[in-house]
Amino acid sequence: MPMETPRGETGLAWQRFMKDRAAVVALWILGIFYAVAILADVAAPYTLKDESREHPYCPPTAVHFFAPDGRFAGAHVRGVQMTYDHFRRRIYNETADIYPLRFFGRGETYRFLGAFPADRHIITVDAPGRIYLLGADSRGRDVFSRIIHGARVSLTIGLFGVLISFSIGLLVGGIAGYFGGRTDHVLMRLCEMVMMVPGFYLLLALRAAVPDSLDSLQVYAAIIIILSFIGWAGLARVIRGMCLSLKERDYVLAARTMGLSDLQIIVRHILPHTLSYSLAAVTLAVPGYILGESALSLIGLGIQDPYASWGNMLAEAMSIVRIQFAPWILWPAFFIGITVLCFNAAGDALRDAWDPLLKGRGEGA
Amino acid sequence: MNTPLLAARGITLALRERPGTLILNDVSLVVPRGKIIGVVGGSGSGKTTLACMLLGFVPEAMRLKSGQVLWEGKNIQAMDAHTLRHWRGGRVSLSFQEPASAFDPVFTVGDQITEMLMAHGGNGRARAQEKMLEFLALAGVDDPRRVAAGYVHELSGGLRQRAMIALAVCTRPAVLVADEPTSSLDVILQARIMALFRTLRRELDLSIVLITHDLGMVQRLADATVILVRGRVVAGDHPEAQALLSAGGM
Repeated sequence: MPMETPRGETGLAWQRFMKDRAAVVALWILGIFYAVAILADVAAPYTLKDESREHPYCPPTAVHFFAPDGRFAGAHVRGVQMTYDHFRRRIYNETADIYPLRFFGRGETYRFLGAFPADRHIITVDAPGRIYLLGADSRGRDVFSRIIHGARVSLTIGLFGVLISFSIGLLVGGIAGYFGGRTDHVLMRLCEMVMMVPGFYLLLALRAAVPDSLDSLQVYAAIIIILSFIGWAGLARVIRGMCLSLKERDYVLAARTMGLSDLQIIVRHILPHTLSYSLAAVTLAVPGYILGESALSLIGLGIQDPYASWGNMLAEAMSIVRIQFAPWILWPAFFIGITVLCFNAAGDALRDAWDPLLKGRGEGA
Repeated sequence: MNTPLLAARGITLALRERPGTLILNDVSLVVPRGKIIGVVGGSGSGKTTLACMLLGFVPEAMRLKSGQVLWEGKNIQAMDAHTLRHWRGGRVSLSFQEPASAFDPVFTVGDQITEMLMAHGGNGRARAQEKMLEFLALAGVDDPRRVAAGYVHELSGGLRQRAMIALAVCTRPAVLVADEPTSSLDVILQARIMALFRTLRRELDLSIVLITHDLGMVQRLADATVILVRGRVVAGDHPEAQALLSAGGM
């Protein structure tokens, strides 16, 4: 007869997490987003460099199944013709030209995962037809494609950001809590100095300290570093509090009597015990980075054209008139919103799963 | 005269907040090479505090008013941090009263012994793991591989205690301070642990400071005995020492 094996702390926490339906859905959505971001080149109909000056603010393309004369023609899009109405507003009319949708058809060439040259796209249409599933921006670039490419920046910046700021936060908090006394005093005042400056101004000041003439990869790295510089202090304070109690445990004294070095003790025997908290905190911190990048890109200090991020795509949506005529340029905001919601749902569930007593008490774990 | 390996001289510890309350009062202890020294006392007599003191740890809530711990005649307070760190664990080690809380719950027992072996004597991981299994076997663990792969909460009390002793002696220290090594074990396991101490003394030329409330164990094992009553060392004819002796059925 099979016996049920006793589950460890982690197993139980995972079980509780899986019971939270919202969190599971959130995890799936995030999983899909990240998968699409990794396979962006294939998933997007167009590459980043693609543009079509004849189609500024082209509205979302309708997918038809029947030709204008009524016969079945398979999934296809029509050609579009731009004219102006008497208010000099752009009007797009469909022509009778038929461009069938091609699945895994040949399109623009790119390097798959940065390595192999390839030209297949999940959905594409033959030139000169254009497919704008979510409309086009001012330069006739496909919003859908750019959202997919932008996901690479917007979704990874949060992960790398928390990775760096949490390493700093854990180490500083660990050292402050473990050694206590003067070390603790100095490090905590340092944290408070970082926390006391309003985040967005600090962001701008730090961005101003970085030269403008950087290529996109350098800007990307600079943004991550700037955002992490702001994010570590809060965590360091909480970890320090946990370490103050953890260092009284017998196994920490045991590790000291064994002659392990202080750093070994902090890294091996104290910080792992803060993991359940920090894991949830990491998840809850990711949205901050995504929003931070969006804010920087929105005001033009982040990722630069032609590279896409959800933030710099929204820069175009800063004018109310444009939103009125081309509301689809707000799509990136929708994806930012969904991503932030998903990370929050997952983070909340993770924290509740690790510490069921906290359930429903909100922040302040 | 030979300088003893480890000696405590006039240790007086008071509570930090209430300096009038002495936890240890003028306690002296000498540990010669290769001998087993028993320290006997009831609950609250300061045994565990003395164990920590012998490794140079003053508990957080206490303050050392006077006294010193000598290693081969030299004051350990005068050691630099690096030497002290290698002395702890390398030359003197402590086995804890509660192995359940002295092992880190998030690592396997084997991992922690391996970690200790790697920290002292510069063993590589593979060599350290080999030695770890040897020492578990030496500490009387019948199935070292299974025990090494287990977390402390998965082991029985007897196995925990033996794993604790393996951890404490794996660096071949000269002195083992064993704090209540048998208090949570039944008599059969107690006998096995005592036999183990004799083996260790013989095999590793180990001096042992055996801290316990169990007078019987001390009388069978120890070459000399110190009786602690409320933080003081007393002679065997002290009324409270007599009470301890008679309660132990001796």
